[in-house]
Amino acid sequence: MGAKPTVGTAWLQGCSGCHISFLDLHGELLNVLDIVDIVSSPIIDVKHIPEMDVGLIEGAVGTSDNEEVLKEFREKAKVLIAFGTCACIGGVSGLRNLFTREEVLRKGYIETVSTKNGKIPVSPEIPELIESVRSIDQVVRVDAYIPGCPPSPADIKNALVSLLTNKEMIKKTRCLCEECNRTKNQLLESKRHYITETVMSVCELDNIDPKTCFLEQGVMCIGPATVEGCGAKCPAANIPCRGCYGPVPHALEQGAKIINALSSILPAGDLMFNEDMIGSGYRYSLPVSMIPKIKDSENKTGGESS
Amino acid sequence: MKTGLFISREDGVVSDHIDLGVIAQTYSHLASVKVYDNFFSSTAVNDIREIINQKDLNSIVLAGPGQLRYTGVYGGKSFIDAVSGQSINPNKIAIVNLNENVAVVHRNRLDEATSKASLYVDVALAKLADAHDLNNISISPRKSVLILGATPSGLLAAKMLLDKGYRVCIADKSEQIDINDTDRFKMELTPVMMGLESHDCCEIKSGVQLTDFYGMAGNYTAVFSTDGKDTSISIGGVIVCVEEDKGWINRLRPLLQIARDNEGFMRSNQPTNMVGKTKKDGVWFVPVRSSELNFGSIFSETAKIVLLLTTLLDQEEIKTQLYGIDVDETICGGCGTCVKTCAFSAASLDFLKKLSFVDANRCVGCGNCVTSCPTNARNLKTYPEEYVLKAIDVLSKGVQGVADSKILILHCNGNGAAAIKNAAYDQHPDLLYSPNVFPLQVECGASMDTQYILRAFQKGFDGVGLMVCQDGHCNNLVGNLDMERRMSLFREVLRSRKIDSDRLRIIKVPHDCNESLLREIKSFSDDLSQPKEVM
Repeated sequence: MGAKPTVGTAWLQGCSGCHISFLDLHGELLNVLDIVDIVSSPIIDVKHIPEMDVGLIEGAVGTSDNEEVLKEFREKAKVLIAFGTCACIGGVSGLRNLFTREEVLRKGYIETVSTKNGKIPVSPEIPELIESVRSIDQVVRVDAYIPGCPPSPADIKNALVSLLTNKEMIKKTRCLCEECNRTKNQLLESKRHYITETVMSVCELDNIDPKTCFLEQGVMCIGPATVEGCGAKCPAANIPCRGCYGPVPHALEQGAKIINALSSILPAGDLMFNEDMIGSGYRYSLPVSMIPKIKDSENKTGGESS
Repeated sequence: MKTGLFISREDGVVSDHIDLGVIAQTYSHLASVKVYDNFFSSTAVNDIREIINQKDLNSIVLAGPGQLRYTGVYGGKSFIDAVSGQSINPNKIAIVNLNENVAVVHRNRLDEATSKASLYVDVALAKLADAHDLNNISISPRKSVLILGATPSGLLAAKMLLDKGYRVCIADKSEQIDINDTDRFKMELTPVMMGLESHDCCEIKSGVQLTDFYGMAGNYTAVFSTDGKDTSISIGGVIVCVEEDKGWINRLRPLLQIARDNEGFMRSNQPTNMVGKTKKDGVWFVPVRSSELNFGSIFSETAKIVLLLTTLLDQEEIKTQLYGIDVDETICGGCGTCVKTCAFSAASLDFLKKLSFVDANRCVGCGNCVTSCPTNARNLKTYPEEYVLKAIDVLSKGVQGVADSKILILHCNGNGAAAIKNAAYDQHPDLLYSPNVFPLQVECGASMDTQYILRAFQKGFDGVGLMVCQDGHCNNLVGNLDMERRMSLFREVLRSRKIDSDRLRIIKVPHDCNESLLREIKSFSDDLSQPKEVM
């Protein structure tokens, strides 16, 4: 039989949204299946991991099972791709790095409102929650990245096609403002002042101006600290960017950067009281930030990601 | 990179308290290492030049005197010029203060001082590795001067300049500029005034406000407005003669970067030996208050400043270093943050190209835009980000054998550097800071990036101090303010990582009082060594 390139996928600590996005190719999926063979994937319900040409990993590494599956995929796949924001930079579940394992388990199994007589499960058959969530390249070598929460079906298809036709995947280096079509007025004036008087969330605005930069409307947008590549779909849909593509490659991290930037142009006091700077600045990228987790009990600060 | 390490014994001050033999040995792998009794002698200068030529060095470390001995004294710069000549770019010269910041402050602690000296030499080498060449521009200076203030000193300065063949413009905010009968120096100033009014090369502007000012030494543009109308003039330099008018001084400060003392009067950037100096080359002020002096004193103070300014403008050409802000066009996405951050209106955005630019005529190189840039498209040539991070990494090792808390103190290169240096001379041995307290110089409070603080904690520092000028005294106008704004948001980041936010401390540079700075550092140290409950 003609050897079609083989593709395998896995979802680790993720929501499966990236796989759904892949399925959203709908009819085009058939075209994709013409040129590749999917040999292992949750969506085809094959549970063993064979040798493959390309491995797509969705989700971050948060449990011992995630680590095992990831390492096996790395062994069996010639090319390993971090598929989606969680795999690339840790994703939303990375925010649990701000709590200890114990706090997270207690909250999940005992303290949630609807739980009665909760118990933290302990069994050798249940994967262990590891100390902190990590991006997959903090555990194994990764060959390529498709960021996005989720990446759009078109992005996924283009990435696979580029890979299989040996076309170089261009690395984006600028921030989202480059792709965003919203106009700037105040931000063009070479004068130092706060561009709005207050900071609000987008749903608090009386009118959301669809054409003007969100920052100029007093709404925090993480676009300036986020790498381009998604086509600025969210701002085009009247929602400010939340940073899911991750930090610009030359920045050390998103959280500190957006604080540095916004404290000059939006009223700092308002930012402090009205916004969750940690949740906004590190929503997707905490595991790849400069201090990716809380300091441990020996009074050492959360060290470098290895 | 071929680097030379030149060390000065500082006539014994350094060699008595640091084992220079160990240092020379540690760095023997460099292209050249040599020790001198003192740098400021013609033998030393010529010897260093000879070595630079022979070994074809392209970068040097000068370990000994602090930076202020070169930039803060009259004539200090000529040493740097003589040594670097044509072959070494000014940004490829790294200065290590082995004197006050190691030998004096850690006197009688030989091993620790030596270990610390080595860390700072490593920091200097890191600086050279990451330094980009600074560019300069040659300007043929205009032989014209703007005098602000038709005060006694202003009128005298005008006449002295006219006598030297300069063109002069006197600008004053009052509508009426004349010597009236009640004037204290009516007799002395009437003939002067008459000469000015009848001189072809003297323009007198009354009832005007300076509203904009930009350019470089030898070629400045000053914009005045009267009744909403703007006029601009081009001059080589400025002499500010507003004397005691604090309101006027306040309005001029953002335009001319004039430093002020505690009472609100103009203060020289280098008060010990260059009176009347501001941060801008070619902009001077006459440090007199006519109400307090006799005419002879006003005359001589004015003459001093005229001499200093015309020495600059009489040259055939002035070479000015362009402030080093690099903008990487492949990274800048045109977000506009730098445009709104810059206090000098030096950043602008080309909206179509989605790219930001630096106006060299306005930029003062404070690094505020670099810190605020969310994509790292900008970098400061004098203290590149890669360098500061490396310096933090190096210093985080701490001094061998010292168990005290490791504290990193970022300080500006103006008031901050002076304060740290002066504090070393304090006579209370129990107040001198521990060898594990590491001052690290950056450009300004504006360039104190929150990422540096994260790096410091990540690498094991117990505390980070940010030393900035008192409110209203930052040389770059808003460096301290913006730093405080950033830090008030940033503390939340520390807390989220369960790092006690008190481990980050803002230290305001005290006015002329070493003891209070040392006490602050000591109390910071003491607080850090108390075991605290994890938040």
